[in-house]
Amino acid sequence: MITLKINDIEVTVPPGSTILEAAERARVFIPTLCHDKRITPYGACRLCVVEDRKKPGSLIPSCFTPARDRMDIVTDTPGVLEAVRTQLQLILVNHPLDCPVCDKAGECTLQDLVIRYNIAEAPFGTDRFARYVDRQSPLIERDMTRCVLCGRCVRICGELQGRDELEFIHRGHKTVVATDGGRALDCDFCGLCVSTCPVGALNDKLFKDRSRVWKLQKETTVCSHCGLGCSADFHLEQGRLRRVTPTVFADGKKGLLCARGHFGWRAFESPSRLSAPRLRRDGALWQTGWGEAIEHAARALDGIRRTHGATSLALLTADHLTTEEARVCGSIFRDTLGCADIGSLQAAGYRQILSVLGAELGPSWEPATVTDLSEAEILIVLGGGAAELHPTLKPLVNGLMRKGGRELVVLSSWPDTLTRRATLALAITAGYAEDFFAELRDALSSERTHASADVARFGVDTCGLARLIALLGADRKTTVLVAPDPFGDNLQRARLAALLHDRARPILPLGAQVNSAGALRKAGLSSCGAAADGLTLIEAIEAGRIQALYLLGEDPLETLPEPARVRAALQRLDLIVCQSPYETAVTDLAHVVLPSALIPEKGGSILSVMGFENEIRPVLSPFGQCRPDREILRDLAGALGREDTPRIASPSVAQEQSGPARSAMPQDAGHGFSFRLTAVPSLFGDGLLSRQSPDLAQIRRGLRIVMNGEDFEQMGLGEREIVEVRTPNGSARAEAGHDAAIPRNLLLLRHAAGSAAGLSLIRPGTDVVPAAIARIGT
Amino acid sequence: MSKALLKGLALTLKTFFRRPVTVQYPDEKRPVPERFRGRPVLLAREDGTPRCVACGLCEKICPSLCIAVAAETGPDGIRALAGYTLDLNRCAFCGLCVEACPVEAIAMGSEYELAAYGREPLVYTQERLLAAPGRGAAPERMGEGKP
Repeated sequence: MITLKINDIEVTVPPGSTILEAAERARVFIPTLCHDKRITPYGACRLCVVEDRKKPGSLIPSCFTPARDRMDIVTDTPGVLEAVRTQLQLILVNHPLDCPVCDKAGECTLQDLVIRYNIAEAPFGTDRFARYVDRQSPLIERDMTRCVLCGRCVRICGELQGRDELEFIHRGHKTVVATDGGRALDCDFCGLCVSTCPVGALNDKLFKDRSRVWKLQKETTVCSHCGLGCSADFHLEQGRLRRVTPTVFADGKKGLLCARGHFGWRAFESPSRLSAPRLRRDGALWQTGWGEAIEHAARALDGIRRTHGATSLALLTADHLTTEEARVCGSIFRDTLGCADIGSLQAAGYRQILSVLGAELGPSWEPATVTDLSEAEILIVLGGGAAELHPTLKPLVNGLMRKGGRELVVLSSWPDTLTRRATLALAITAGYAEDFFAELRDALSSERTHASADVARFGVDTCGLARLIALLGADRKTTVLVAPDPFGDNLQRARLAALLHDRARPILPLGAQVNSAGALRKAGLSSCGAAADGLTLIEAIEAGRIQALYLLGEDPLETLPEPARVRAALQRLDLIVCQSPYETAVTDLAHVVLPSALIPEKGGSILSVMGFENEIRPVLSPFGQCRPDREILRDLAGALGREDTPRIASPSVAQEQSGPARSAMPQDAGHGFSFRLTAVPSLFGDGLLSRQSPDLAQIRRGLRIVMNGEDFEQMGLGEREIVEVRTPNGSARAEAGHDAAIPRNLLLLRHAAGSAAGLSLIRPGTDVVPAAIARIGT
Repeated sequence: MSKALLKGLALTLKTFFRRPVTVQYPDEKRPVPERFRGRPVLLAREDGTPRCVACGLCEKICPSLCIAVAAETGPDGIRALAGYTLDLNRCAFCGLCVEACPVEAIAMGSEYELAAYGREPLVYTQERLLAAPGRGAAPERMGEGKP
């Protein structure tokens, strides 16, 4: 430990701490402008200068000077104050004083410092350089006239998000922060640059000119776009949400958010929110009262159960219930109604992985925690799309890799964002990922040596495989992330993870919706029966076994492949109860529509994938006549009680481990289908909430197809050209893009969820389909 | 006794032929002093648009919370005024909004005849607050609220 004095206050800090960190511990204020605790110190603004009494006269930038033993630092000598004041005046030379129209006013670091150091005169009055304002980019406005060139956005984009979208352009006085060639932003839209900008140079367009920061009330809650449970600050003006920012924690460090968390909040007030209960009468949906709607739902559920038996009812949940609500839901559907088909479509992969892990490892199994992730020396990701499912993983992993000496192993059949950062990226031929995981598990468990002929089938680099085996055997802290495939099977990767867990590796299953972890691990609302998988559910409906479907925010029409077949199946049902916050495609087919509240409107316990339990309280008032799911379910239970429903003990359901028969690659390849298409998760969210945000829709830009650059060139396609994609199942129009990392003849289909045309391209039960592309008009 | 009466009559006679000092309000009005704090007015640019940039400082400083400023993004991409409401029911005529304004867009006017037949007419919107260009604190007549 190092002991030093800051303004005569003695502090002890761990070795490697900077003087700034020591000053913070001594509660001595040091002004900073270019410092953000999330990124490495840079020393650009020179406001954090201090003096060492032992070396009078020399000014030390405290943010990146390591503290040394027996230092005697002073922060308020006339020399230091003069330097800070001069530096602020120099910064103001190129900073307009348009605070009245700047949205940063009130929380601007520069404004605060200018007031604190009482800068009233501008001795260096030179002509300002004409700089531009980028208003073309979606969601983010870059006002370069206000930029003080601290480089925080440039560094956070490169270091944490790994995009390097922003960079310093030009030299000297002409320096600006810009994209290459000055084009509009086309990035992850994580908003980290906006969150770090100390002045008003980077603005959130959703917040711009809507309010003023001093009018806002900050409520810390949890982002509900995915299951990672990132902490988010909701800024409310008289009860109305105005913006969402990463939480500033007690130590002054800001958290991380992704595009969904930052810019997806208008989903809470989306025009597709359901505002009143509806009931189907004479073939049409009519608005009705709560009492009548719930009575009707209870009577219909009870009737179907009495005539067709308890097995005719299936429940699908989008996992946006709090743990308490999931418990109530389980007790009504499983214990009272005897429903044996429970599942989720959006979190199907996560639920499958968790059930396999639970079956193989026993109930005492615990997923990896944040500490396991941050202290891991080797990170192994099974499956592609980890950072697409949970985008905040990307800055987390990038931050981890920056510490050096770490290994990131990604085993994926398509180049996802983490692959680019991986120290060992094993590319598996698309469609063979599950087979490869099964083979790897066999090889690891029976210790048999592998014939290289087998490996060739998967297209995996043998040297890389040898290194993977070596890393798996290494005695280093290893954490395994399991990313499910959105439409394929996940059994083998889960079994491989279970095997690795036996060798004391913490496992982190991914792909959860907001409270999937709570529903499964706390409330026991795990998937069972045919509803565990979308395909088997549709088959059970087609076979006539399932007659009634209770949908908790879930929409099979917007999440399952082959929407035409799904629609036909749903139309066969006697009853569809749609308890959802949003009007989606399935609402039109529903018999009873019950508008439910969203997570920020209801509050309760939420369990994140990393096992962190959040107790949240309602921060928004319910939309329209929406009611929290717990109230709806409670009333439903009451109404069922009046129907005198006999309690049926939960039937013992055999866990369908194997799932439906799946083929790696359909046999009907060929016949003009020169490409293979695989649907991948979207960075901007495929979940119920993310799909409803108009701003995320703006950056999703609809259905997109990404292919190898050479294929793209060979076809003579233009940037963002709309092309016709054809598979044996259907065809759709999508925006074409290219990426050099994608293998030849592979197409990545993004944003299929929520798009009927996109879903019609895919075949259920398989992750790869043959495909062809044609230019429109040829 | 009669002396006192005569004294009084003399005074009456003396003032009887003088011009009266009473101002016959409301037929007659005295000019208001230069620094009079009448109803606040929004000042206009030459083209008749309000000078206000919608920064909201008047709203922030107002001790009686009577000002509400709504902003929007103007055609040039810069913050612009979307609506200005001043509730005279609450206004204390303290003039802090005028002091806070960074662009001299609001001034204390000279209008003081503010009585109305209800509370609603006293909630002034942007149109009624806006003075004609170049006529800062000029008095205005209010037509609303009269029977």
